[in-house]
Amino acid sequence: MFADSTSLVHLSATISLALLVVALFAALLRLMRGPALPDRVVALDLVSALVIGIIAAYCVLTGISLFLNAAALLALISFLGTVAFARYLEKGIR
Amino acid sequence: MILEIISSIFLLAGSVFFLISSIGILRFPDLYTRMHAATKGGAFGAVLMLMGVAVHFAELWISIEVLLVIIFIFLTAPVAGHMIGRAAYLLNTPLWNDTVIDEWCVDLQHEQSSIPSRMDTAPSIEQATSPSPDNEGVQRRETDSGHSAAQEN
Repeated sequence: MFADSTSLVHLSATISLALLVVALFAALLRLMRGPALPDRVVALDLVSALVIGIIAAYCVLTGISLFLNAAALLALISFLGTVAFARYLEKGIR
Repeated sequence: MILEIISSIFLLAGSVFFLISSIGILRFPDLYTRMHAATKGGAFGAVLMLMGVAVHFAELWISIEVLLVIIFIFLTAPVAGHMIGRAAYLLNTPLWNDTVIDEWCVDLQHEQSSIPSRMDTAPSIEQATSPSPDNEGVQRRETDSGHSAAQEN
């Protein structure tokens, strides 16, 4: 599955995956205990950016470049979701 | 070998940016400062990690795709952050106690000096259907939202 397990890129991709998982837990903590709904929307935006980073690190780790399409689609969909949440918050309070 | 070193530096720098921005979203006292950490740090971390992927593979089509994703992120992250911040401000999300300047509050009070609260823009139907010619921008926004409220009812 992994191409060469001893190279420098493999090691740094593993380290960055570990850092990204720690960051993902911090963002999910803010997502759970955010005081208001906009805090949760901001945390969800950061979570989607973190998942883009995880996809990039996994791409380097496995050597399969096909996952970049998933990263592009996730960037598109996270932008649409954030804009939809913002419109809903601005218009739908009445 | 030199490509491996450059790609490793990009990946580690991107993940460190992500870690710093998520520490910021956990520790900052306010929605707006939290948004400042999340939007800029998240977008820049994603861009750095995608550049690491492009340097690692070193092929033309992968680089073009990564460049498209980077341009898309740099175009859309400020727009999304701006819309969340505007919606949160209109929802009366409280500012931090040590906030130095609040320019939009001053602007809103200057535009509609009869309404003291900054959120009190919930229009009635009479206001929406009879726009007064003086304060143009405020009245246009109120007719817009009042029209949607009237459509919902």
